[in-house]
Amino acid sequence: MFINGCSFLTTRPKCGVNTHCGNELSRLMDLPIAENLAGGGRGNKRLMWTTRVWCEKFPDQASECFFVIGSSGGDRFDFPTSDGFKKRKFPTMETTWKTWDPNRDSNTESFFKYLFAKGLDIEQATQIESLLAIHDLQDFFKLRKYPYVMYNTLSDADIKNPDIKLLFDKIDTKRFFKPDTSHLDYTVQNNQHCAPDDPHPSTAGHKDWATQLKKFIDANDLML
Amino acid sequence: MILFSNGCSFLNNRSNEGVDTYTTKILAEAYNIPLCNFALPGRGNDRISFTTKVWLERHKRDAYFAVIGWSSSNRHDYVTDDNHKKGKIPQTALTWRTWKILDNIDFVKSKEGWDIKNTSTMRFLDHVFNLQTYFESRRIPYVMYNALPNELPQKNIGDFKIIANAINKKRFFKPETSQLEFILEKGLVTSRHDPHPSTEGQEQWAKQLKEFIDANNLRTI
Repeated sequence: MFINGCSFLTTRPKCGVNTHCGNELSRLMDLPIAENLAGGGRGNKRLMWTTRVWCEKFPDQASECFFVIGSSGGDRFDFPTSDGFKKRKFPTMETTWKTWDPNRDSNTESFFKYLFAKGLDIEQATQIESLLAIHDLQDFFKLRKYPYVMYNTLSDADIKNPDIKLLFDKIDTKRFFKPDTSHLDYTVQNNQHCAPDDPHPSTAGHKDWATQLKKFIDANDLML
Repeated sequence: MILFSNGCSFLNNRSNEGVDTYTTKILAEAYNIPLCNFALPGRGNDRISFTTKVWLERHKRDAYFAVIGWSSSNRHDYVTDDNHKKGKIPQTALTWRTWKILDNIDFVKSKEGWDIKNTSTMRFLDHVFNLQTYFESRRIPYVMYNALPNELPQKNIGDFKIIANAINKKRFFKPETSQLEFILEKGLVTSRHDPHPSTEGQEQWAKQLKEFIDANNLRTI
């Protein structure tokens, strides 16, 4: 199994959560984890880039893998860094990444005020950021004939624009678990937080989501 | 078959300089096929990728030959809610503007570690690889070239080389250069103060591109 996504596919020991949905799914499917490139706080650009690089770098392993992708939030804009940020965490990768988003710091808030004055539609921009990554990865997996499943770890706003809706409707939903919602939404709705002020899933929350994913994978024969 | 093209100002008329043609218009005339051109001046590659996919998904019933003239990776496109230039491209529900790295260097520098050159390279490789994958998975014939210069992979980053090697060069005309560099080298610009192609600059580039398309049989896939 190959895993990529954000913090929802990593452990959270400070809250006593020493597993994640990908771990639980690998156990349920009896598949060893070949690689987990999920990075806390990162977005979809890094997810997409590192997944494809890994596949091109390790084609023999990739051809044996089942891919589990948790799409992150579209408001996270990733960029490569020259400072080796968390390099040791992902030894198979030669790029290191950070992320900017509208609320991360005062400089970014100022920059967004400038973009808002220039007409930025933040909801549509984030929807496009997510949708492009989803389509690009689905196309990549389809062309390479790699089996996979995707789902949203985080949610974007409801889509109203017809052009964006058109591409949303073109998602291959046979391989996308619950595209209208996210693991975060489910966690909040079902009170499965790891701590009262931390919206990350508890151990039970990860197991619950993994069980549902497994049923979806089996029902749609996604291992093929 | 319809020729679909997308890009920046290099794939538009420049009537105020007396240039009423451009590369894909010349190509469509040479092949005697209708042209659907989505190129917009000043915009970047995010818009090219998204609008190309939306158009081709919306008009699946038609057969297309796609020609993409890549803009600069330092242009970051975003969707607007102010209807900027709405109607210029018909049948689209989105309007776009662009922020450029060099105009916002203070913001970029405030992000510790932001590698400007490598971000630009990553974005370029990402756009090319993704759109090629899109075309090839749907069996849409295409050709690409750089209208504006783009960063080729830095020698010391293997991950960039991996993706660069995965790009289909058979369908990328002169990836090591751009139409801008070509017209500057040959002096085929509209004026000294406007580095856009003259009529001759468009015709010469289109002629080379057509030879490349025909030699590699790129109108089929």
